[in-house]
Amino acid sequence: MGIKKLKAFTLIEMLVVVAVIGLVLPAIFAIVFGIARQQTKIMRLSQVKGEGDYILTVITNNIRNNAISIHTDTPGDSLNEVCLNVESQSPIPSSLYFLDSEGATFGFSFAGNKVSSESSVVATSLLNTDKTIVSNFEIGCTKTATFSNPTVLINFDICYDTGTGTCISTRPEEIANLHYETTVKLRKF
Amino acid sequence: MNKKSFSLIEVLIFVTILVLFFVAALAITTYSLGNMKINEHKIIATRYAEESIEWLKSQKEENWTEFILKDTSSGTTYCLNELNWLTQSSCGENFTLGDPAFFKRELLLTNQSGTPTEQVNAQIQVSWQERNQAYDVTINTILTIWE
Repeated sequence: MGIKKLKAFTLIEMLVVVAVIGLVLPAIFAIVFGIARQQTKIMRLSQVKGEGDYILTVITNNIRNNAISIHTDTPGDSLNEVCLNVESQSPIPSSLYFLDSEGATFGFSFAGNKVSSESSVVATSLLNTDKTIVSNFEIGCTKTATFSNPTVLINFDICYDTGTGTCISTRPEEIANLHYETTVKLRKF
Repeated sequence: MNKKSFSLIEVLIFVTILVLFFVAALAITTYSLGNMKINEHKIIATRYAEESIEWLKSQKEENWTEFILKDTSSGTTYCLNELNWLTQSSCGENFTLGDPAFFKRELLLTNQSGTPTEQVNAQIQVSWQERNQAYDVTINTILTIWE
């Protein structure tokens, strides 16, 4: 007697508890961050694919269904018409304009990471948002034979803006980059 | 002295339940992470498949008479890891498409009956291996001499 038994954890008990927490917490955090990373990647990839598909669909459908002649400038006239005869213009980083059956000019051009849809009757609209960056946008036309309709060639790269105005990041999950390329034949030429 | 404490059985039951819970939670997270990875690859594979469909369309627009000669025996397989006609066989184990190289892309061209051929069926299959399992994205399309 004389020594009062204190009710408390022993050193060993405390060490065991701390060790267990030390093992479990990092594991949980690793898993949580793994999921977050993976979700970032998928979110960015689907955003990029969605916008890329949209650009491609808008350009392809408009040209295929509405265009009757191809021009290098706006408004389209006989002086700036291209691909009327057999010729091949390799895709160049610029813009291309078309006349529709109503005589209105519409076209697609590329400036400052954005693809825009221009028209002489409605306001210019951007086809991709600030979240993505389009690069290497090229559009050109080719006509292979006298009695065949000309085809328009389009290709571009689209990637997710990592917040720096570029698509470069040291973290692989932040990078989402896709390449698009297509050919479309004018139906109403 | 009779100290008030848990019995061995109580502690064992508690620890077992805890372990079961953690193992289940871990299994679920690993599974969903794996699924997400597969989904990510599916998005990319779909893009590659669509890309080759667009390329096929451009090939057919360019010259239909040459295009129908690509099917040499009513059903011809090409390896389209590169967008050209050079490999007239399946890709085998050449998963060289993509960055990192991970996918392979195969095309099955089948000319439909008719003289001259007016319709060609194309099947694009982008496949990859993941966790010892084969996955693929398949797109079928019909290319005709008419628009």
